[in-house]
Amino acid sequence: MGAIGEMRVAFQLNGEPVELEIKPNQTLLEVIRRDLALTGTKDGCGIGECGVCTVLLDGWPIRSCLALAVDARGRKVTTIEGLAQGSELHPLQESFIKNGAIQCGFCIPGMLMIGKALLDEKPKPTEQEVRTVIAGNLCRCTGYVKIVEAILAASEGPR
Amino acid sequence: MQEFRYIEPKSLRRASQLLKEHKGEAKLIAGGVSLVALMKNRLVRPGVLVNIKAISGLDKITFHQRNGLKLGPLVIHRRIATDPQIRERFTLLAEAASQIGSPAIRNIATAGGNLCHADPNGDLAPALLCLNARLKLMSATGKRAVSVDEFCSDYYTTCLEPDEILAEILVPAPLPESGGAYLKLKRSATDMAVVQVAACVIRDKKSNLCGAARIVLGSVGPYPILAKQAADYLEGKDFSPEVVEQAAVLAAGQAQPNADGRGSVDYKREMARVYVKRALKLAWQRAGGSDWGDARSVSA
Repeated sequence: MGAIGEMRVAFQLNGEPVELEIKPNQTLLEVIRRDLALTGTKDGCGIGECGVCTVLLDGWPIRSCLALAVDARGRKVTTIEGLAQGSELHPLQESFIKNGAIQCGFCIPGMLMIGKALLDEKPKPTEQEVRTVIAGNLCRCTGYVKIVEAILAASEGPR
Repeated sequence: MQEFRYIEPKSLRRASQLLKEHKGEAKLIAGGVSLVALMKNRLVRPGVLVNIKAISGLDKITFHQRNGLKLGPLVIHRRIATDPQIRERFTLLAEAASQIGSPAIRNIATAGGNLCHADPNGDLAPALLCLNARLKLMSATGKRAVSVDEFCSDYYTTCLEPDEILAEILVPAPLPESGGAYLKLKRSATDMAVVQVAACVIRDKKSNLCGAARIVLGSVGPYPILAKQAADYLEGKDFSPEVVEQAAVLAAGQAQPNADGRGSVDYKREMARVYVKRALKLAWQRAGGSDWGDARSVSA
């Protein structure tokens, strides 16, 4: 008993049901990037330190590099590809562009996912709350100021 | 990650049987945050992975006035950090959980995984030892309860037998007029600690003296260190700045830090002293004792 080879799993990805064969030793990140060919989610440190692989699981941000793909069974996974509605960008994405928060861009999918999760939970975060939430998402270009500004600008808070 | 045989038992009993059948090659997985990172780096190579997330009822938080707090091993850190009952009555535990890793880690990492990984930098063990928690361990053939002190036996080592599983965390209800605090010194927001201090004190309402205290140091030894001398010294004392200073010196004397990238032996010992002082002051204020200003201030 017990699987080594392929297992069949089904979950919701960006609002659409998906069903595929995976191996139990695959992380959610590997399945998203390789099997589902959604490469917006980045593969950085691989050990949960950098945050570029952040996706939402049932609305909560997680590190997809440390989650086994089998644990996504029956749940809702949201990746960066799920933010825009067709050709219309998510307000947070617009805000990142408008505020010049993007430089090399590698950390941005993770920043957007963690930022979206924060705004979903707290539509009017303080600057401190934004900084606390993005603490685990590393950016080596911007010094974070514009990223923080972009998230605050997209919030319902007074600006 | 290398291949393994993957099994999802539906009961703890079955999980324990599997651990016994595959003794030496089976590993239990909960949130996976520590284990998957170790497996990716090939520091741990289980032939069999036993995922206990299909077992129902292991992610419950319950509180009873008399029996205290019960945490299932699969409760994630975010829930411990945000649960209103825990924040109000077991403040230092919520403070510890809220400082583990980063938000995206706290959404999958579990209390049981954190304890069983037994990282000397772990946050829950010092907090739970300070709160005098009992850990219920079970196997297919029996069960027992141990203190956190007994549980954490060495660096990354617990007292768990190969077929034993951490089934529940029991935290006794705090006494009235008691207060606790958890402080963590770290280099950056998501780094492991240089030192952690968990402290709780009971204030004798009539005399305004310290009835009892418990102080635990983390990250300055192979496991959380219960600073007994300092706690004994505080018992029955007036909680003055001088007394607290002396208690902090005694507690820091019990630290066994190693030098590493997070600091030298002397630095860590000194920070242990400073953080014991601050934690005691904060705990005393929360117990209804007098306020000496900001307990977290640098001049503390």
